[in-house]
Amino acid sequence: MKPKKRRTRRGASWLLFLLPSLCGVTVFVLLPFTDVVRRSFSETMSRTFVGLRNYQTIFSNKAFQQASFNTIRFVLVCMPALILLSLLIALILHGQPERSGIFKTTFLLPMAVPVASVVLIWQAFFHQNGLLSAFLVSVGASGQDWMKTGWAFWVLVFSYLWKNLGYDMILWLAGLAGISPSLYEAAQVDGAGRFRCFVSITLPNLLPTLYTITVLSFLNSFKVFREAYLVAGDYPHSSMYMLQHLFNNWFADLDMDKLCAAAVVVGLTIFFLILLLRRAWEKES
Amino acid sequence: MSGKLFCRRLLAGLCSALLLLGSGCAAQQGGKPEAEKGSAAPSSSGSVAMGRYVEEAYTLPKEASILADGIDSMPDGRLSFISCSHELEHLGPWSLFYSADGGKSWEKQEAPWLESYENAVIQLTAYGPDGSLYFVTQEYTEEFQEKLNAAMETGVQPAPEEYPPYRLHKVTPSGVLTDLPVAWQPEDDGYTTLLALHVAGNGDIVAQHQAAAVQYDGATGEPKHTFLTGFANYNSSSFLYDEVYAFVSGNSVQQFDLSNGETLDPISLEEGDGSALFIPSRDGKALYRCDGRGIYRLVKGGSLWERLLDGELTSLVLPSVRLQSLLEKEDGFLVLARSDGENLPLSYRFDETVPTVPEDEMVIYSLYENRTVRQAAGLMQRAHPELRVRYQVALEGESAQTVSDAVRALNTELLAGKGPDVLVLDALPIASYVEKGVLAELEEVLEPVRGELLPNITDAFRDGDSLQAVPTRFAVPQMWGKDAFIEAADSLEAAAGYIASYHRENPESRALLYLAPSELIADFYYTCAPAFRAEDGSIRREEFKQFLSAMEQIAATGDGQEIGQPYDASIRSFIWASDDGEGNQPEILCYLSQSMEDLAFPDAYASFIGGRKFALTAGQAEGVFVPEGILGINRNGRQELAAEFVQLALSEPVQNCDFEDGYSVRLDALRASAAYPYAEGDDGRQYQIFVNGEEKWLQVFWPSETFMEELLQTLSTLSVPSVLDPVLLEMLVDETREFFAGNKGLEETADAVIERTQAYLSE
Repeated sequence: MKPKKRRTRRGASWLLFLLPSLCGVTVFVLLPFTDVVRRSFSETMSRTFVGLRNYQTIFSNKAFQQASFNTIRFVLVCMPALILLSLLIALILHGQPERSGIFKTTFLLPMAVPVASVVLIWQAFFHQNGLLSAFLVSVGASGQDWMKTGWAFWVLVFSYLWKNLGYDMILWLAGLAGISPSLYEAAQVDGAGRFRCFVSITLPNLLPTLYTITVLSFLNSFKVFREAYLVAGDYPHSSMYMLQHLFNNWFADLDMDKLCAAAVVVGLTIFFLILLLRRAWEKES
Repeated sequence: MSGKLFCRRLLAGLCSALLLLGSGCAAQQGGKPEAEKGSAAPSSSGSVAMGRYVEEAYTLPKEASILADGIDSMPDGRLSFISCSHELEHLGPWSLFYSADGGKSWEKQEAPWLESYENAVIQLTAYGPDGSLYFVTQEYTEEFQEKLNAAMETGVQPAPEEYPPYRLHKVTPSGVLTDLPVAWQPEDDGYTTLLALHVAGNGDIVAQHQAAAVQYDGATGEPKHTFLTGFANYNSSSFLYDEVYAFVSGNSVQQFDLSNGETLDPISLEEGDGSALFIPSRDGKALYRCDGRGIYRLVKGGSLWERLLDGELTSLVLPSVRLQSLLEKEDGFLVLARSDGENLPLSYRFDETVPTVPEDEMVIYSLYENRTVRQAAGLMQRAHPELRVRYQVALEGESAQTVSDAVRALNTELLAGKGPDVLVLDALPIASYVEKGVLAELEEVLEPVRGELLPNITDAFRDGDSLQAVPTRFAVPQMWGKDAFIEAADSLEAAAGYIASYHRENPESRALLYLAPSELIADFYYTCAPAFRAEDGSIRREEFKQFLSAMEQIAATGDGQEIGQPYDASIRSFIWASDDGEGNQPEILCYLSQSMEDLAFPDAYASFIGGRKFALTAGQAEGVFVPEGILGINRNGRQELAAEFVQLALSEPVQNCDFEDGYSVRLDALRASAAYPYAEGDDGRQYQIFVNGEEKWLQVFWPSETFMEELLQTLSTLSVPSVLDPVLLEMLVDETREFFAGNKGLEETADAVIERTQAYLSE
């Protein structure tokens, strides 16, 4: 009898802990998203069911195509760059623990800078009359408004890397700290060099950290919209016209049907990508 | 274990289905029933707040068409005014009226002393503490009138000493008339101007001049103190209380101590443009302020202006109403206003039996303030005192909210099946709202007035049999300038060619006022966008290249520097733009014409210097007009009331008012606005201008009948609506910057523009 009672109490307690958060997520996330799914199959105002028409519309919409392309391009460029760069810095700092304090602070500082301040800095740097143009003019080249050219995309990439490098670096450092030194000692005894240790010990042990960083970096890549919007408004240069810009503008135009269909597509895409990542990581482990 | 796994999956599936079902049940078809809408929620105790000031319009005697100086409050509580009924303003015979019942009725008084002023102008009146009436006269002799007539032709104003002097007179309650000698202080230019008159408790006279107020000794007439108030005009507000002279300047009330001439701390107003009326309370413990927003009270020593009366529930909010006097009565207030050229005394009495705010509400929404809509809302409120007609302006004053924020907030309400009853669609996504079915059909609403409207204008947003948006005003892109240019510029290419050749022959001169690329594009956008934008909104490549080429040709004649100051077709703008005082006068002015008044001044100027005429702005499209004050009815709102509002906005009482926010869309109102506005013998208006760097006085009457007929004919044939797209305009300016700087070619620029606008236009 006693074991049965213990199991029941354990079985109920997880639900009690979960309930408040689950209620909040249900009310503020799941229910609204369910409404979004419903709206994606109907007209904006009349709410007449239209089947898959909205989905057909968005896939043939040039603005959606352009925004999707830019967003995918941004993710594909930024994420590997961020992961590799942050890993490199983490490895360097991990090897120099006594000097790493000041560097950790330096790399983490961008996270504490408000977005509006970041935007001011970018404007001071990249405006037609900004610091970068002034420097170029001083060396005989010509300046321009960088945020209104194809360079805007790379400014955004730089902004993303600058903001998130510290955070990922900390996660890598945590992962590196979790690897037992005895593994390295044993490998050294067996005659393994530094590169062999890195490939055979460090990388495999960092896979769980890599999964976390990949997911977080992927989700953070969508937050770069804030800087893009504050710098360039509703309609930035075509190279940094992202999905969020499109959604924002569709809402202003009352195109809720297209907005909801696109949101469902994007949401499902992200969901399946993360599921795939998880499957891959589970297989590896 | 597999059984447990199955149970968990079943539970998860059931939860998902429950969520879906729950969201499906939450959907409603259509809006709320009419009865539910607009009802003010009762207070938590279940009762509604009662009591507010109720408006009642009084009338003045028929013979009192022109008042010398508004209505005065006498020390014994009666009200008084001096008036005349001459066709031309401010000439006798004069009459004196009293009211003992707060302005409801008026009695003409015996005033034989007024007979001596039949040929004089009585301009300012005020009462002293002993009940004596003080008034200022100025007598125009025939000789002086001839000098004025000559000045109209030569543009040279008579010298200060040639003007008849201001004379101050005093009449005691017993009717004894005395002339008071006063050494009026002239302005810096030597001329003397009196704008307001007050009598202090000690008998001193305080007169407001143009640049300062002066306190004159009541006995000797000599100036005692000068108070530097800054620039004043006839609309400026000033008053006395205790021993303080107060002058309203912008958003503060300047105060000056009459006993020692010192400047006191100003009273801060939340906001203001100096046009509000102020009076001290009868008990001396407070100040009252009256403007379009209502009547407010400030207790002495306090800092909070307490609103006693909401202007939106009264006629005070009407843009056509000009406030002249504010008086406190036993049971409330009397406000003398002027509307449609008539005096309009408005009495406000507190009624405890009326709800403080009407329980029922109707909402009209616009992004920006629109005076025509404001007028219609005020008249709607007057017609429905049981309803609160709320005109909601999203971007008011120095609001930090952006257009995008406001539109998103509006869309949120619309999506929820709520939102305002009437939408002013200027700067809103009209096409999207029409496509989404946000707006109701207007065909039936406009049916009763169809024959009275300009069909070419009101059908601007017609799509086959459907009409869901109607403009209440329209503007016309117009240019004014030298005959040779106007005659040559029958197309954009011809205009650009003429400007380029003019510049070659006159390299120091300026053909157009605005020559910077960004300002040029904005000027010519209206008349060219309908040509280079296809029906689906995309850019037509060849037409756009022609537009750019022409802009480049014109911009090359300037130095690329933006002027920055906008030209709004007002008289002040015209004076500023027509000559900079150094003889530099652009050949052509391009602007959006919104009123017949916009034509009077340039027409008079053209007659004065010769060789100038008007035309529609050259462009790639012809017959262009700009719809304004575009109204739509929310399908989920109170359509009946909204329809009534739309009809009211298109009715004569609203369309006859000229707020300089667009020409009327009514045929009769448009024709009336084109008619000669001055009475016979009226000398129109005079303005100080510069011609070739020389200062002149310009007499302004009205364009000729022939000109107005031609204009009316032109307005009735306009057929191409052109609505400004600020997003597209900004993109054009951005993407063409390098082109105008010579760093990019035409083809490359056209490609860049099309690429940049693709996302926006294909959304």
